[in-house]
Amino acid sequence: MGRYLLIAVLLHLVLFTILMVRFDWWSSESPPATAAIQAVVVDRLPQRDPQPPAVERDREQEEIRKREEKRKQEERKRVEAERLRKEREQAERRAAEEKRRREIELAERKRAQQEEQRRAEEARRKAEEEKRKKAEQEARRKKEEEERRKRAEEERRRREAQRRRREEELKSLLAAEEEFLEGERRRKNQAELERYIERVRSRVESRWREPPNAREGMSTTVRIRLSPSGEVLVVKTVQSSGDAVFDRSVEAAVRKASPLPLPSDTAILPNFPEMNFKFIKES
Amino acid sequence: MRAINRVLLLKMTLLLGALLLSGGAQAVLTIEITKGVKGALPIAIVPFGWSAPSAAPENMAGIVAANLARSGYFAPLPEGELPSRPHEAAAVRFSEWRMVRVDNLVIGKLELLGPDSYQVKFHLFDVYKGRSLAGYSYRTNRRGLRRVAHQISDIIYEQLTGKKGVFSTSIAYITTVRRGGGTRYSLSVADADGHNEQIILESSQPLMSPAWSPDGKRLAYVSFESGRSAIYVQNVETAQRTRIVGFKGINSAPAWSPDGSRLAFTSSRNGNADIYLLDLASRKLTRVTTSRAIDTEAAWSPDGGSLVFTSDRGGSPQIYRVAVGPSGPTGKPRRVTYEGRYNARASFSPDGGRLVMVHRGGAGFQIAVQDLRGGQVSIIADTRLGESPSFAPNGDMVLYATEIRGKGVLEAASVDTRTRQRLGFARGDVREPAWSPL
Repeated sequence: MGRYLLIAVLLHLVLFTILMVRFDWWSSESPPATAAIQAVVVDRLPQRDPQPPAVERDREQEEIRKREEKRKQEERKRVEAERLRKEREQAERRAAEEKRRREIELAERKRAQQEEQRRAEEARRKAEEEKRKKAEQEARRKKEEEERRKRAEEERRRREAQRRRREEELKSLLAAEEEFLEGERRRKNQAELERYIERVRSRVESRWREPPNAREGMSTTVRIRLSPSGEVLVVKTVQSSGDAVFDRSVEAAVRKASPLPLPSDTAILPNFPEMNFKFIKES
Repeated sequence: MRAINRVLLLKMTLLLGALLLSGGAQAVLTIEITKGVKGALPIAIVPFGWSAPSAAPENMAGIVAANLARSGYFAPLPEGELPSRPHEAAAVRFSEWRMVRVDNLVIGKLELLGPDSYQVKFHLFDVYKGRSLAGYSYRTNRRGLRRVAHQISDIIYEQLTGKKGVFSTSIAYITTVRRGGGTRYSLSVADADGHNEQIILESSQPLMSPAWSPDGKRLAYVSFESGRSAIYVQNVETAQRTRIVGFKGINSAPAWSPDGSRLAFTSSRNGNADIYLLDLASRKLTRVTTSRAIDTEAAWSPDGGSLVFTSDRGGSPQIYRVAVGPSGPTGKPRRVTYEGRYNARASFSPDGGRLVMVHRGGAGFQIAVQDLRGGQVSIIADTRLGESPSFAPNGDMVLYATEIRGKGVLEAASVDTRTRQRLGFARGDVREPAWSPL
């Protein structure tokens, strides 16, 4: 918009300048041309008409008078023409002036009109801008509102998910805890069983006297049945070494170890009241 | 051993874990026992019943208990700790014997049947099984009671160890008695426990190196009765004796071949002590060693295919082995002992796998056993002046002589359990024991 304004101003300036220059040009150039013609005409006259002879004076006089008359007449004519010309010129000038004034006026009017138009346009634009801005603002507000709503919704969802996740975590934590406890129980049972086996083993070992004839690799397996108090009730040889002395030493060891210790929980023993002992002669 | 056990334990545990996880209803916990105690087997030997009001002619239970204890494999319950004294199988209450933690129980009774006629009955029980393992009855005279006690010991030993007992065998040895101005030498034979001694030869001149014939009926020995050494063979029962070797110089260290046909001995007939073989039937003599060193104390391998002997050919006494055939040596002697600067008087275990010998260690002259396969030497009796070791015919014990306060005594050491028992003798210095065959 500023550019238009600038351009308008510049245009006016240029127009004004052109007008001024032309005016100057007209006022400074034209008259000398006219003046030169006048001057030439005035200066030439005396030189061309030297003093006529006296004989002819009357006639000449006459002539002179006539010529004078004629000259006068012509002078008048010329003055008249001059006056006319001047009048015409003046009129022309006035007309031009008028025309120019009108043109200026027109331009001015046009400019004012344009200005008005521009102003209106500006106002309209401004109004539009305002409207647009308002719309934009409204849209932004709406958008923000929407976003806020969305954020709230998201937050709600997030919280819900978090809650659920926590619940899940808690659940899996509980499951893990349970599993851990189960494992712990199993490990404890396993450890308990191992300890128990060690107790039984050391009790039986300390009572097994390897017979002197025992050879490396000899092996006897016996199955025993325990009473609820751990007494060895039955000893059955399920796999003999083939050597009566070795087999007997095994049975003696097991019977001598009676009563066997019992685990705190007999459930940890598979097939509880029964148990195998495999005696192996090592190097 | 520990490492092995740990590995085993681990394996066991894994196996167990698998077993537990599988949860099979038929799975029975199996505990492996791979290590027992080496100690002696607790046994109760109840004094035998005796009906007559007079004292029993022989303490049968005492003889049996002493025999079993000497082997190192048994720990008889002291008499004072016996919970009861049954003489009949019907009177035995096993529970009370289990209470005192004995594995086995021996009961018996002695009855007078007539003048110098006795009946001996005994039972061996497995206390934990609650049943009799053996029961025998003997009839003998007063003199035979000890022998019966040894036979009972043998039965118990074989029943409970799975190996032959050697309590009925005999030992031969030399006793030196200084009396007044002179010294009396005697060759005696006694029961394996040192009792029941019978002198089979007495001499004012040294007697040495008794050696049993494989049939256990004769003894070869060295006698200086003629003023110089000679080798005799004497029948133990009949006392009939023959001079077998009497070369000039030294004649010593006789050893019967396992088949009884030949005698290995040391002779210096060629100026230097070497090992010779004498065929007893043909009187044929074969020289086994020819070194400039002293070669002596030959002993046969149980298969009769080789001899070990002591030689200082390497600078110090060591044991060498040489293969022999019907016509003499079939190879060059090879050194067997490398541990220590002194190894002498070697003899084979009945299975031929080991040598027992005198080994000079830090403390003195010890009794050592060398494994012939691995070469390991183990000291079985840390004696200061051990000498003349020989294996019992079952290979479980070694009999040797040693000195206690300047007096020669005989000791028996069990090879596995390293127990040592002194054999009781009433008189003199006792040396050079030789264990009879079974």
